[in-house]
Amino acid sequence: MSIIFYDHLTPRDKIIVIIKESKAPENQKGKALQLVDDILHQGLVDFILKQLPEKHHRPFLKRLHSMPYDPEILTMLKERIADDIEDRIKEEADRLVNKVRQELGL
Amino acid sequence: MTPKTDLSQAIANLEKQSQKLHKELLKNKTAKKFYTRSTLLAHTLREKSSQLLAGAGLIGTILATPMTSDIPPVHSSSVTASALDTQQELLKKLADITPHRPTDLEPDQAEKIEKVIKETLGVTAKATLDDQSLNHQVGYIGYEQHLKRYPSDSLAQHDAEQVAGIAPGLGAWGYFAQSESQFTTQDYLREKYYSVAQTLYLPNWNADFKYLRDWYQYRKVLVVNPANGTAVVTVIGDAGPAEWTGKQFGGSPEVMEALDLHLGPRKGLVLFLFIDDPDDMVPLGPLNQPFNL
Repeated sequence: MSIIFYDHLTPRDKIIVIIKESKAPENQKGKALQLVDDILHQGLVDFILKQLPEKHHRPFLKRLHSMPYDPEILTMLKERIADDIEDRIKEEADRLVNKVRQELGL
Repeated sequence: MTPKTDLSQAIANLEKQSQKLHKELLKNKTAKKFYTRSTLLAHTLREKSSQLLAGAGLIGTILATPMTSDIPPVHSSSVTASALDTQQELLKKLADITPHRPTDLEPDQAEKIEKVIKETLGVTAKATLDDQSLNHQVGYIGYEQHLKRYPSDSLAQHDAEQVAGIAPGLGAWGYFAQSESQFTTQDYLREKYYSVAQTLYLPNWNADFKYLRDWYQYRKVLVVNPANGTAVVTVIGDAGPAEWTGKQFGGSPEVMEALDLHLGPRKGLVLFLFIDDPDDMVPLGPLNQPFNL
């Protein structure tokens, strides 16, 4: 089970390990980890909203914020966007993480 | 890969990237409106999610690596203070408008109580919903046993309040899941936070049985203890108690614990109101802070 419904579709675990293993001070590592998480979250929410018909935007955001872990969110997105939404989220997450890696010089 | 020794420049770049994404996201009208009341920060959402899952006893099943150890912790005292504030506010506002005896609410009483709950807890609670109402909205709630969730379920598999034991029979709707392999988080939460209502004494229960059974099955109900301001979101999971008991409602061991009615006589006067939640947004469990959407 994921803490946020999309976690298992993102490579955030890999980037977490890379940041944690860096020799940077702990406070910098903590800040970088938060930013990675925020970038992924905002990027993915924006990506989903751009594909989701407008009438479903509010229910999606409400659900995400009341039960962030709920796997039913993905089911809802499959029904309202497309069956391959998981693949699309995965691709977008990879793209976002690659950009982060470039910024980090990793 | 060369391990970095200084991430300050990278952090500055990531901050710019995050701000850019933030602006992009807020171009969406719904998101802009929504995020004026909620947060965009992923770690805040993770903390909320972890708390919900921990409350449901599911935190151990999380596969993803949580980032909480690297994130400044939320001060537990501020969370507790906020929960206490909500509890005290609810207690204060309900004290002089809630009858202290089992009864159905008059429309004007119901309206006042519903308004207080909406203002304090952020949920829409109704004495009457879809033309349905129970015989009581104020009544005594009693401590129930755990219910069997699937055929091979046993008391040892319930993770809290095992002292309650497990009922020998099934709840009014049967098993929550047909087998252990089909048992879902939803089933788990429904049993954990089930309530009991006297549907069997509804005047039209027998005549409209099929419709009413479907309407009441797992109907979301807010149970409030007006004596201490605690509240818990439940689903109707069983029918009862019998009239002769002098009680009008029942609560799972966890519901009773949330209401602070799990010790001593294990009984108390509560408000019992339907939650108008057509999109199924309000999570089950204790509601000790305003439900913020």
